[in-house]
Amino acid sequence: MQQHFHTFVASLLVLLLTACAGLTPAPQQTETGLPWQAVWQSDTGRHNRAVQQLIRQADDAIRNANYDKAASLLERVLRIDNRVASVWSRLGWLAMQQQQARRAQNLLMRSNSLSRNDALRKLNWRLYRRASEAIDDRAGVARAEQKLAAFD
Amino acid sequence: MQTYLNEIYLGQDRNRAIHGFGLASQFYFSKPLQQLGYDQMALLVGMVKGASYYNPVRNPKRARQRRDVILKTMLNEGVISENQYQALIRKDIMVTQHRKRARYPAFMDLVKRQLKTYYDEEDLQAEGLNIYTTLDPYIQQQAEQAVTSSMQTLFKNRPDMQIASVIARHGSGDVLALIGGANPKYPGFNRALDARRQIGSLIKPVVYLAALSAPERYTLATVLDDSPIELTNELGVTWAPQNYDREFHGDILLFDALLQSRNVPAVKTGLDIGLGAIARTFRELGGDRQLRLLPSLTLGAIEMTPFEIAGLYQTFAADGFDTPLQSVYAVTDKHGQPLTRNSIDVQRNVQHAPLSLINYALREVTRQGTARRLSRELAITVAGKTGTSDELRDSWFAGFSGELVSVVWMGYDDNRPSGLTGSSGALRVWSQQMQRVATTDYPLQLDENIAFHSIDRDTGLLGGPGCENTIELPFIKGSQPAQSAQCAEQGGGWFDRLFGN
Repeated sequence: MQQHFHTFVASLLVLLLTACAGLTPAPQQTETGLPWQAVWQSDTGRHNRAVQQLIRQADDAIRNANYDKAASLLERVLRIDNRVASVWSRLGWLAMQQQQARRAQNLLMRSNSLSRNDALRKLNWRLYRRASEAIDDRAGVARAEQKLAAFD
Repeated sequence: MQTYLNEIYLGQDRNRAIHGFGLASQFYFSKPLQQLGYDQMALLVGMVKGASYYNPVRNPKRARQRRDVILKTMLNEGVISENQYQALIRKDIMVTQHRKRARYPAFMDLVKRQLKTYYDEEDLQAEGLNIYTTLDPYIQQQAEQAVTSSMQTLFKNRPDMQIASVIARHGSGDVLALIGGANPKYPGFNRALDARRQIGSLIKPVVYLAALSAPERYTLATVLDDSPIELTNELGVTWAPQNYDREFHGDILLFDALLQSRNVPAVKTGLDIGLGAIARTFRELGGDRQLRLLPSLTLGAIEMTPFEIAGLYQTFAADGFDTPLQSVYAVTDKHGQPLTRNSIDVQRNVQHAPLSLINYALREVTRQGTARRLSRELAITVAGKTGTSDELRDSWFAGFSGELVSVVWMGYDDNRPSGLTGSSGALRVWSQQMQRVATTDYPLQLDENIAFHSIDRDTGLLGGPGCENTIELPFIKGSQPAQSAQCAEQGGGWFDRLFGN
């Protein structure tokens, strides 16, 4: 009967674990290997291992279109180091996927304020232009195009 | 059956109901279910019959008798052996003693207030929500120790002196530590959130940011007039602002006026740029208090809480990006299902170029200005501003490192003079706190449209080899002085003139 008691405790624990597992929505299969992930990844080399690991997990979540999880992981990065420009850029891109274009603009600008990496800054302005188009922000589009022209 | 085990009522933690064996295990024994001994498991199982009647805290005798009944059943069913049974029934009931007070009362007060913006009071008490806060226990404890030791040593002759402090991570806006009074464990008046005090010179970066946002009129090298001024209002009342040292220095660069926190140049600059412009800049930085547009606004004759100041300076620290300070980053229901997650949001309403000029000056305040003791006491580079209100009633320091923004206020609750300036009071506690918790340099991020020029400190014009008192200052491109100082045109200094070619 000792075994029976353990089974009782184990089943209780299984119940608890399955309740937690239910949090994660099933990943949706969409495009993988976004072209700008290479730009983001080129900007992460100088950070500590915990940051790099969280970023890798976030990129996996982005590839699986699990955007809530990706955003949560990236915000954990900012709780360790709030000056990782590529993380702000990723959050900007995620905000666009979540139809939050105005928020995306701000996050992308935060990324640019921290970055001296031309490839990342150019990507941010491209995304900014797209976010501006989504909300018919003509001044935003013009500003982005002016900045992009300066890169050419 | 499984749902029943997760839902069953097993006691009360003040206003919070304990539902399910998992939560009860944590509450009564401070460990997860799988780590419980047989006696502890029996105690919880026994409580199913009546969680209140067999409560081990209030009715330990009954709880023990009931536990022993369950253990007897386990013996009879072969779950435990006779020897185990005999050993287990001799065990006293040991449950976790919960403190009557929250360990971090000021911080928890903030959590409750911010949660109330999302949830009904009733839901918060009954639904068994899991609240994930931004508190950093290490930083909170270090901040508390710095306060306690400072009050017992530096300020031991001021027994009634009060203090409040806020430490947050700029960028994300996470509040990491909050101290509401000189005894951080005492859950009384929460000065960090509720003490509205005059902010004094903490307003000066806002005044000068408004001025520098008009680069055709003001730069860090603009020569300001530090000479007596009298202002008379429509009722005939005269106001003659003074500097802290009761002296007037005549011509002074805007940069030096901010570093030395001169009052009269700030008043004159503020009146010239316009009180409306100052109020607009204040709002753009995230300030949401209604300002009275009186000349004394330029010297910080407005009342704000330490928490509000932390929000304002967070925007300076984060290169102009305003982020609401928050104490909760996620809430889940009792099953762990997320209800809300506070996504990081930022908004920049101020121009970066003039703001980065102010941040340059705030960094220099900690090297050669009123907060220069920080350059001796801290191993890292920081930026910030001292603040002192009329008659030394309030002592402030607000500043930031690479990751943290922090504010310290000191004064008396009855508003009598404290005898402390920002430098002699709050700054010293701020330094103690940052020595313990700040680890990264403030990396000044100048705007790409900024360039440095050599300036003759006496005239504010472009310097040159012939000038003996020069300083390198940042300018928004094109706003640097058009003229060179006379000394610059004289060629080299006396050494060059004697021995030069």
